[in-house]
Amino acid sequence: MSRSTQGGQSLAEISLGSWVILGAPDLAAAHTRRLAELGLRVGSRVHVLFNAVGGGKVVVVEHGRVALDHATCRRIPVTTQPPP
Amino acid sequence: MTATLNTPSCHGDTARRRRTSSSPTIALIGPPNVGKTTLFNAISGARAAVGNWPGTTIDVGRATWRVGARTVEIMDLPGAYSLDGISPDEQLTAALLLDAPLDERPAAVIVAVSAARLSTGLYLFRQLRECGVPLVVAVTMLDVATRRGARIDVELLSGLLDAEVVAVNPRTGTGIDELAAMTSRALTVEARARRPVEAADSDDADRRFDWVAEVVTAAVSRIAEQRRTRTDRLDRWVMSPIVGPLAFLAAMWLVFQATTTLAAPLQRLIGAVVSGPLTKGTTTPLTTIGLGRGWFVQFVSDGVIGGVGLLLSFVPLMALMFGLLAVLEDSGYLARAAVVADRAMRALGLPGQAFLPLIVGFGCNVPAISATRVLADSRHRVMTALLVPFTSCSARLTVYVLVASMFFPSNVGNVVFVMYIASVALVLILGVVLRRTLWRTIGQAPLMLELPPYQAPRLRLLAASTWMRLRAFLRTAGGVIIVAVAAVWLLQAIPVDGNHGFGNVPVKDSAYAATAGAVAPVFELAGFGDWHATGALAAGFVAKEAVVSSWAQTYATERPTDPHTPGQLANLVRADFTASSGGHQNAAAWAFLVFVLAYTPCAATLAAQRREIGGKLAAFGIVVQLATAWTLAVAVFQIGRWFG
Repeated sequence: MSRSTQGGQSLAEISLGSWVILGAPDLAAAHTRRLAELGLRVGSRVHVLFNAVGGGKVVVVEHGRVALDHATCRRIPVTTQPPP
Repeated sequence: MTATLNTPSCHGDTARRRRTSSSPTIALIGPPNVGKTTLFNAISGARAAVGNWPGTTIDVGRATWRVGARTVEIMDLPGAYSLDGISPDEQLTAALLLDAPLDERPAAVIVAVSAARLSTGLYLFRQLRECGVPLVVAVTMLDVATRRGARIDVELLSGLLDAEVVAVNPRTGTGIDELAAMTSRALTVEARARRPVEAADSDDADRRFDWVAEVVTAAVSRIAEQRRTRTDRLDRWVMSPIVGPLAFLAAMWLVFQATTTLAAPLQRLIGAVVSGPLTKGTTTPLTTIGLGRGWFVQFVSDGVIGGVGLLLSFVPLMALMFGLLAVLEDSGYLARAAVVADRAMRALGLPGQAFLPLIVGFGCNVPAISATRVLADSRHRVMTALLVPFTSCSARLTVYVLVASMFFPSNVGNVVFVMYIASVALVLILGVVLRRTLWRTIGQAPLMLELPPYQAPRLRLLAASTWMRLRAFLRTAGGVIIVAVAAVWLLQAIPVDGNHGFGNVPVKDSAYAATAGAVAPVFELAGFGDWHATGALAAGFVAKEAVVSSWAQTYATERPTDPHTPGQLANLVRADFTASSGGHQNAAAWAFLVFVLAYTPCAATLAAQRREIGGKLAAFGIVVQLATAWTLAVAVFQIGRWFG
């Protein structure tokens, strides 16, 4: 995975505690579907909880926590949102 | 039954069907980390059996379960988020539910969903409902949802799903009886195929995701603001860039110490009981009835009881390993370990959890092979199980010390250190080679992992899980270990000259020596083409602990009680190595050490491999180990002799 999102912000660049709306990930179809199965669909609103080892993020989805590696975070475009 | 792993579909299943078998099968499915296997363990207790699905390396648990007035078989299928699985394990789940012959498909399915993450299980539920499978929903982790500020209306959820729904807590047993009653009712429902599940249709997928979102919105209410839980506060440290790896290494160190230091005295105790009272108790009656010290009594004492003793000596080791695995899994730490070690293992194409078996392998390869069970993807399990034998177990240490004391007495510590460095290098190099040849597709998957909440492990569930795995290991490994020990005894008992009787022959005149002598020329290029060394290596195939004693036996000399002081054996071995290597005995000694490092560790490891990855892949592993060991030994000797 060498590419990141074209322009705009990716999930990898988001600071802790932020709320974001997810865009369409630049990933293989199967991995995009897996993200959706985990609740990370286009338009989903998630909370960035903390950084993990290796530059990944742990995000709050629904009432669960999902860990994503850095490369995956770089391929998910996001739009920041004000906290609820 | 061998399941096909095609795109999930209900094609060909247009007719209504009803289970008529007196013992129907119930499938337990759900996404990973929702407590599915804990629920299975709570249902099955110690009655369950775990093993690979025929023709695959995929783990499926089975047990009988009393539901209503009948007994059913319940299967714990690999975790899956949907029927469009990515890994072979997920694909097997889909295949067993949809592609198996009608009379072999589960009569009903229990879908385990987490109250804290309802949506992850409902997509799978929706797909199964479209296929007309009778379904029951078990909602787990209500306590976690409550702590995180959510409440599930189970009755409303049942209405929305048009299926029976029960809240369960497998850790306390709450809701299990109700689940049994609902499952019993589901068995009376006719299953029929309504339409195929088309994985590739993104509109269908979007429609299902929208439906899931509607159900979750209606059934889940927020009772408090999302707040940081204790799990979140702990995770912030456990998964942080600095403390995370340190905590991970500490956890691995504890596992390593427990499986080596703690197990060792128990293993010695079992060894003493087997070689003392057990052997005496068995052979004395045989001697009393007139069999004397004949070959039969020797076979029973050294062959059969020796094999059983070797098998039993693994019991404390494996029980500790399985118990620790259960603790790591049940506590929720294993998912964090996967995140922490993810980047380090990615070079090998393996997930972070693979670090655990590879570390444990430096203590003993047998529990390490079994520890590959922590890997959800069977391809990762196979690759890790093939790499584990190259981690230098503690049994090999005695051989390193002995050979180093014979040839490099002033540098024993440095030699041993080099062997451990070589072991790490070998694992890394072979891992990269395997990844670039046989497993090109693995390692590309990004890390997307649901983190379960931390929980205090429950003793009853830990005990059930440990016993289930231990029993399965003993059943599978027992035959291989006992046969291997008995085979070595038999070869040593058969005379090849006319001067000795069966069972009363010096090793040098036995079929064992003759076989070793026939094989010895293979090692001429490695500088140790001598039957004594080959004979010791052959014994090492059964157990590396046997190398030293067998080597001494071939010279009819005393076994050194301390490998640091090899005594007379050192002179004899050095003389033979000098002769077989043309005066380059040090290079031959290095070649021998490298061969010991890389060739098949022991019969018990083979048995564990056979159990975890199947006979064919275990045989493939032997070929890889022998080819690697021989090639490296020859290379080391041929290069080494230029340096004297």
